[in-house]
Amino acid sequence: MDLVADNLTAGYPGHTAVRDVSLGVREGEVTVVVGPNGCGKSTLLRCMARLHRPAGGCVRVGGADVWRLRPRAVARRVSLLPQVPEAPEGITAAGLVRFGRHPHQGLLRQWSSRDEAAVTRAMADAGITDLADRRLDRLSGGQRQRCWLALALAQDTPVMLLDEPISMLDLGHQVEVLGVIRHLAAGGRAVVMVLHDLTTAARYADTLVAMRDGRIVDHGPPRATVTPALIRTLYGVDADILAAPGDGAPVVVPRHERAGRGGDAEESSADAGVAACTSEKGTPP
Amino acid sequence: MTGAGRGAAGGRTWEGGIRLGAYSLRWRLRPLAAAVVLLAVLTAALPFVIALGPGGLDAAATVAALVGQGSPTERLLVLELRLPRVLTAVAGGLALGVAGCLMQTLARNRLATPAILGVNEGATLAVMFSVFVTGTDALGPWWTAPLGALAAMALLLVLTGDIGSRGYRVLVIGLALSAVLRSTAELGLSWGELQHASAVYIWSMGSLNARGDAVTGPGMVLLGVVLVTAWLLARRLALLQFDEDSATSLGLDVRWCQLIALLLAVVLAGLAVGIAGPVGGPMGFIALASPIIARGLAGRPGVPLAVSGLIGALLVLGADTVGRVVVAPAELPAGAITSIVGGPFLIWVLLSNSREG
Repeated sequence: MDLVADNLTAGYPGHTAVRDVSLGVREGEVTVVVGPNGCGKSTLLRCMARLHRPAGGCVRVGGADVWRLRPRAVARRVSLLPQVPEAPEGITAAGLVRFGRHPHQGLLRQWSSRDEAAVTRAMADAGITDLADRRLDRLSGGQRQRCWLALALAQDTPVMLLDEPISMLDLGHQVEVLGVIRHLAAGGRAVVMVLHDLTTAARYADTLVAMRDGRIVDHGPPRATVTPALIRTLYGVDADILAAPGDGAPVVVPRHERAGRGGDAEESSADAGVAACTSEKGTPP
Repeated sequence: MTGAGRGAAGGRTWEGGIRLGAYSLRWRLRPLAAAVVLLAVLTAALPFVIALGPGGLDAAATVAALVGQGSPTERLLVLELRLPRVLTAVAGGLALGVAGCLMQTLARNRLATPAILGVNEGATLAVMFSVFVTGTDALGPWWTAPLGALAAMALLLVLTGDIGSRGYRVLVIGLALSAVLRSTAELGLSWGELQHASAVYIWSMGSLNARGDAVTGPGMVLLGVVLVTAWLLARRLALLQFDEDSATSLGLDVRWCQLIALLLAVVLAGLAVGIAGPVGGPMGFIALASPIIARGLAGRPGVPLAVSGLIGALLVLGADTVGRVVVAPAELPAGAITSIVGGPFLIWVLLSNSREG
């Protein structure tokens, strides 16, 4: 286990976003965190990236508490693709991706051949080699998102945290980027990503983590985890689960009517007792 | 070894670098070229600037005097009278330019200057205090202004408790603090004896006349140390152009970097105040304009510390020289010249800002 969250509790003044969450990510696996808006998944990711100091519990990378490491040491092991990142004004795609090498560089090691190879590979993997000299602020949303992914790739870390990496992409690029992510995992990296679409999550995850009200409601392989009961617990929606014709991956098809509050189905939750519908929705500032 | 002009992905990036074993250096050609050209212009301008004014010197005679030849009168005029003043202008300009660049990077705002931190008022107050305490019409020693600036910053940090995300908080409280300190300084000015007050007034207008003694050995050493530290920090400062989360996940200790950059900016501003008068006053324009011009020359993105400093030096030297020459034998303070130029420049910046949306 390269990155472990241990009994993590975190939040903001007046609001606890993550309650007592434990989660480990394995090399070679894609872990996808799903859940309704404000369920704490982004805060969980921020804690794991050492951006948010937890109120309780800890996040450990290679056995060491991330808050006992310097940001640079963490940045060599964990990379993050934030949801709405902001780039330097006027930067080109290649210029952006080169910043990914910062944690590996120093005053007298400003541009090694490894740096160059990592940047070239990251840009090829993200499919932005042709955009190298284009200005980032003049690219389309999807192109820009792939540039940011390339930045995280260039960091060349064993663990990658991606906060909604495909939110701006069309179907073709979604499949392409998720393919890249699967490929990275096959190469031995641990990937944790937050996704909104359950069907996509179920198709690309090795482990699905479902969160609601700051707690992990259920987790496990997608086929065993994605059930009508889970959908109702998470979103308060009745849904049918189909098997994809190609590979049998679960496909979520919501029904028209919203489920009655306090649904009758047994919760298949590993953490039963979570009040299904008393949500404390509030997005972190 | 890599040649210039080839980027990582094979694109033209106008970058150069060398690689020797485990060591490698990389630079962008445009800022480097801009810095070299500006340094050459500054060096070449010095003899001509020194030669200007009464005494009938020409550039050749000035160079001769600078290297220790020529008549004793020429050497006195050049080495004792004109050179210190020119160096004062260059040092003050360097400090203002780099301080402005640091502040604009910290605040991620093109209109940020050290003046918005109350630093300038702190330094001004300290200098004024030193004049009144010593009871002479001479300004206090060189470290008075930097010390006042640091005290103002310490007070500011105590009041805010934290630099705050993207520095907004510190800026807002800084504005309030500077208003309080400024009114205190004005109160002092109106209470002080006329003779002392007028010394402070002339200085506060940004006149470099009789400020030759502001350039002292220790002051210059401090300036050098701060400039080198800023240069060493440059690679990290570049990450401050990102949002805080991105910068942190790229390995930057954002708070620490902000604090160091702020400290450097404050000391530079303090030194500049001591040399050239309050940076919020007429000379504040230099801190505002230098980084903006530098970014135009060096290209974006980037944190053009060196180019900003050199632009600042050229601007102050230019303003002081013009002020010395236009109404000779009388003098206009350099600050008056920068004020005349500064207004239109600010309007131009604001207009081009809104055009870019």
